[in-house]
Amino acid sequence: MMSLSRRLSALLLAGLLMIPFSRVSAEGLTPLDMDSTAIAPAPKDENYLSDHEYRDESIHVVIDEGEYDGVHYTCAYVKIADPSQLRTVPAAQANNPNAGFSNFSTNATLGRRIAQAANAVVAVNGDYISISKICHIAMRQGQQIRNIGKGYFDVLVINRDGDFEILPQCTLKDYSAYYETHADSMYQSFCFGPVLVQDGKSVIPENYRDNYIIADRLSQRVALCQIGPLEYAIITCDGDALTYTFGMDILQFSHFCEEFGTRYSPDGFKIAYNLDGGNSATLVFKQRDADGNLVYQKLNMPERERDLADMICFVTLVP
Amino acid sequence: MFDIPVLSFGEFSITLYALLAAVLCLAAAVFLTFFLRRRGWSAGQTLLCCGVAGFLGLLLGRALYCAVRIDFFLDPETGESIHLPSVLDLSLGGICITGVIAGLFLGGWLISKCLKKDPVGLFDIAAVPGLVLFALLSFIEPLSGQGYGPVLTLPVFCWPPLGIQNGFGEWILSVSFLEGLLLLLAAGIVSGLRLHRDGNRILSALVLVSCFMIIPESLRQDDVLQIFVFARVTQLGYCAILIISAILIWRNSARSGMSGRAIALEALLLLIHIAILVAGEFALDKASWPDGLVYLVMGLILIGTAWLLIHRICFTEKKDQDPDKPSVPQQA
Repeated sequence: MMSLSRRLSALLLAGLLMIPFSRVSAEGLTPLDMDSTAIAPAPKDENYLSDHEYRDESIHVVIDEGEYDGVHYTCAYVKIADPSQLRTVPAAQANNPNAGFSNFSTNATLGRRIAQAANAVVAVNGDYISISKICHIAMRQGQQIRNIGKGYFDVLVINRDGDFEILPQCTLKDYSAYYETHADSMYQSFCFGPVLVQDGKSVIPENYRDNYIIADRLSQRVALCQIGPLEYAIITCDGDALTYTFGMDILQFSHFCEEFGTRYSPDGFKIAYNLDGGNSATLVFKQRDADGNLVYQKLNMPERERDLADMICFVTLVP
Repeated sequence: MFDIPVLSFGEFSITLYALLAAVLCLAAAVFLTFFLRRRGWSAGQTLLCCGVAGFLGLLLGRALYCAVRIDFFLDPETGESIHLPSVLDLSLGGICITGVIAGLFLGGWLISKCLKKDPVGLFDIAAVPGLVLFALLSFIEPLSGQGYGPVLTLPVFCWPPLGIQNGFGEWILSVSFLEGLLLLLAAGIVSGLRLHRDGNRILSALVLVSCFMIIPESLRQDDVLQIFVFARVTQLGYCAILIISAILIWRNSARSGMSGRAIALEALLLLIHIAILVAGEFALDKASWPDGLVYLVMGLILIGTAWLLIHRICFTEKKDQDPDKPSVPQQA
């Protein structure tokens, strides 16, 4: 049961965040093509209000960091005006602006480069699409890439309204059946998981074990969360994927997401979905370097960077 | 990654890379006919051997690729059936070089046996031209849209052909050019070695290729064939080739009088070297040590491994020429 003071502070924070969002409007702005990996307009330097905030008529991003149970976290609050601003970008696009997703591509490069190529305002790693041993199911930008679901993973489907839906422990047949009836409304699907929070509550049982994601070890973690319509949060926590001596296990991370969600909405996150963690955990945002230039930076544990196969990017519509 | 040049002849079209690769392979086969004539191979026999070896190389290269990435060849919507046209289309994912090498050896061995020729002699003669062909194919690899690595940050390296400019004007490392240079270096070393015993030249070539290619493969950011994020099939393949070559070298050495204890010691050293290489790849992915330092250690280990095995081959050669040493069977 949430205390009255916490409930009031959550309402206050949500209220404060709502003030700038009311200005976010897609009026006069052209949505991006949802069926291609076409590059979005570049975010304008003057719209970076600080090293922790970007705002224009189509997108508002606020970076936050702190500590939870002694573990450092970095997160991004994202509000967009149109679902086409949530995009997935293949690593190949870091070198070729025309590159698209392919089942056969195993390109990988640093997240900062992918975010830069995509003109992302904020970007987070995906489910490592090129590793088919884990990423059994994949749809990117409306293109069905792979379906070899074995029921090991929860699948996150993002529809063309930007809303999240979970297909728990999704098998090939489950996904095929869903695809048959929802193909037209499907936009992205990710295969990693598990789903951490649903309707504001952690759904991870106390004895949860999953060797694929090393669920019971302390590590870096990433969650993509939906707060409400076109309103999201990306949460990362630090950790050590080499020694597993610090970080969060999945249960702890789900509790963190459950609690953190109430900062943005009294009801918490509608859905929080675990993405590829460990050294893949990458949250990218532009910040000023020592020379005062705005450059893409890995915000969480910048000293550890792994080449990534794809990223989820939130972009602007303002040309 | 890059736009792939395609040539069209009416309804038939072919990539420039495939055309040039075919021309280079054909030229290498013709070139080989002159060398093999001394070993009693007619031009027709040499071309037949090259054709069969080339076909088996492509077949096993593709088969290994498909076996490792079988998931990629299933129907993307139902996941139930193998999508055969994708399997047969080499442009979708390509081929695995380890399978190609295995296929070339299998083809050479099969044809030699059928023609009652010595396969080891064939491999020795083909070793240096093979390395040069491999180098030339590496130089043209960017035409296939592959063969690139990380962004080059030091301006001194930002020149073609070591660097390639990507679609955003950034200079990125041409890993395939680096590989080509290393293969030419290997060809130079192998041709400079005074080797008489059958099999030693091809073993030297295999040792050097394995040792020289492991780091460039690690630098690739193109469509490399991965088993997992930090383990690449080609690197594992080169390690396997290195181990097989080492076993054959030690077998020859034992026949030339090398003690079992010395062989065991070298084998242990090789295993330690491979363990350090695996740890290096793991560290590149997991640890926050500087990549340059990890690559330096890996490079020194690989140079040490190459020196150890080439030194062993040369030492065995000297032993064989020692008039006081009893004669041993001359086999690879």
